[in-house]
Amino acid sequence: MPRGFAHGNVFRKLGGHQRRLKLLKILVNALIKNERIETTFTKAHETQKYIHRLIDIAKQSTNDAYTKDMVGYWADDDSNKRKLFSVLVPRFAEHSGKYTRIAMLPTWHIKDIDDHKKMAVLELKGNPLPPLPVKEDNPHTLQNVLITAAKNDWKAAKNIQSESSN
Amino acid sequence: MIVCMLIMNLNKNSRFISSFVKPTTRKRAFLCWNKLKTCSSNISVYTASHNEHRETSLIESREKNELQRRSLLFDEAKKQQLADRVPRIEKIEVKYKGRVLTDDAVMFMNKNLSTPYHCAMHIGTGVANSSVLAVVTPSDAQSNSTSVSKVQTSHDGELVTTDPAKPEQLLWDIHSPLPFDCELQLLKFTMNNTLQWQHEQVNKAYWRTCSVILGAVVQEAFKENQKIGLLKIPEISVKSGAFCYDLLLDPGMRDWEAKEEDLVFMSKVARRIISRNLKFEKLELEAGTALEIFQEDEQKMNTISELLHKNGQDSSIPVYRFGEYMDIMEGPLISNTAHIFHYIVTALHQVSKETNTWRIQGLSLPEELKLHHSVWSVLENRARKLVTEDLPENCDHDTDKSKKFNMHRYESIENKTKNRSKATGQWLLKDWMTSAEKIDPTVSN
Repeated sequence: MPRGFAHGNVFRKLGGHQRRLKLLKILVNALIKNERIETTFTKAHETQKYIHRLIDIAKQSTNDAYTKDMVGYWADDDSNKRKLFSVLVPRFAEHSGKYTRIAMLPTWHIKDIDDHKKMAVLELKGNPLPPLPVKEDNPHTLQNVLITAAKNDWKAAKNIQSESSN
Repeated sequence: MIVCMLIMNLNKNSRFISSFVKPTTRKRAFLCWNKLKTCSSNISVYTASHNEHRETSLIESREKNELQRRSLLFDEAKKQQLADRVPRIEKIEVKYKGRVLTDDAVMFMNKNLSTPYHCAMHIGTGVANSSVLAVVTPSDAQSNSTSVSKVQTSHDGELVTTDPAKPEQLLWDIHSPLPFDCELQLLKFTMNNTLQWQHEQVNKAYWRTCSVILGAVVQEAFKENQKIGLLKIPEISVKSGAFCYDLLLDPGMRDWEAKEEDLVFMSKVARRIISRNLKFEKLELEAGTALEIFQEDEQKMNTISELLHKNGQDSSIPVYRFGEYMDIMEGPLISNTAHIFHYIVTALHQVSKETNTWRIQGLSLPEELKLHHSVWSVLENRARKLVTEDLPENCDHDTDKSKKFNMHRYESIENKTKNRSKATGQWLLKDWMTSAEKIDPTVSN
């Protein structure tokens, strides 16, 4: 199995190591500035990982050398840096985990596209733009009701266990 | 029997017999003779076992006769009601509201004869097959209501307007006929995100049908010499994880514990009932006919008297029939057992030792909402515990008996009812094991 596809992970090269980093830096900055961007699916999938990590770093709010380095590299513009700390961190304060959403776009009508690339839209959650028509899970159907109830049960049991151990 | 005795007594040489006896009688004679030989030389033992066999077959036939009698009475009541309500065919106007404006339709259907299922069939087979409940709003209510049109009252200096009374949204079974002009909405298992109330109603109805089927399973699974009383279906929300039925078992079974083989057997019995694709027919019976039908069942008589107490002596009692089984239920039920995909009996807990009440629990999901077997086993594990939502806090049940199942080594009950294909050895999707015999020696006293 080629290393890039083992264990279900996808490691994309995107044109070379240096080129990849430059590309991702541009995309991350564009996402922070515009809150919704349209690229190919592979590029969007890669930037997701970097954006999640960047927001996690910013949420920690330590004036570390590490944070300064990272934020200084990835959120290049001054305005982007300010936006990160003043807008995005409070927005995602209670949100644990995935801060972005990808939706696929139709490409059958575009004649210029080579190799039938998959185009996608990448957006930060909670943005002020009109919502994407993405189908989200229906929380009211029988199986979802049962699954959420089982999840809550398990969490409650776990809490009781942790409390008793403490 | 006599012939074989004679032949036996005459001589043991078969050749001598064959000359003047027909081969069929000779075979029969030999079979009888072998039976006599194998069942010890004591003829008394043979006759005793013969009598026992006769007794059990009598009990079986009695049960069957009972069920047949009930369904005959049900049919008669149904015919009479039809004859009363439909002296001649009248028309009603049914407005169907679909998902989109273009799906809306106005239909002229027969009064007291046509059901929401017939309306759905006019629209399309997809709609008819996937719809499970109906919401009916009678359009006569607005003109008939003597109360409130718009009222302007001055309250604290402000003008307050109260809206006219909205016509009620009634939940309707798909196979029960419509008696008035109405607007019709058909509900499915998966609808739009925003329709929460509709989803809740469908889920409740589905839970109720599964409980009713549990009642039939219990009747089928236990041996006939056990007395079982079906107490009631407790009102339990879907979130508790399992649907239940309260039972009164034989007093001899106080110290009995349900093993996993018994649960697997009962799931197979349930599967045999469900695979027949039974429709649920509803009838509102008068108290007299209901008492006649459920003559021999103590518990059902009690429930009927309770219902009459609650709603008044002249009220009608709703009875549902599916196949050969009948039950008294109030709420709407799912149209057909064909909608069910997963169905297992997960637990039989003893709720209280004094009164010998037991609670049988199960778990099921419809065909539109299938689950992967890994997620299903998580839900199954949860359904094994006794559902205590309905019971008072200081209950008699033993908490030690509800054993903790290790998550990693949980063996799903459903996996034992699945069939594997002979070619590949993998699980087949819709091929379940149904129990062949009616009585299993393990599920008894």
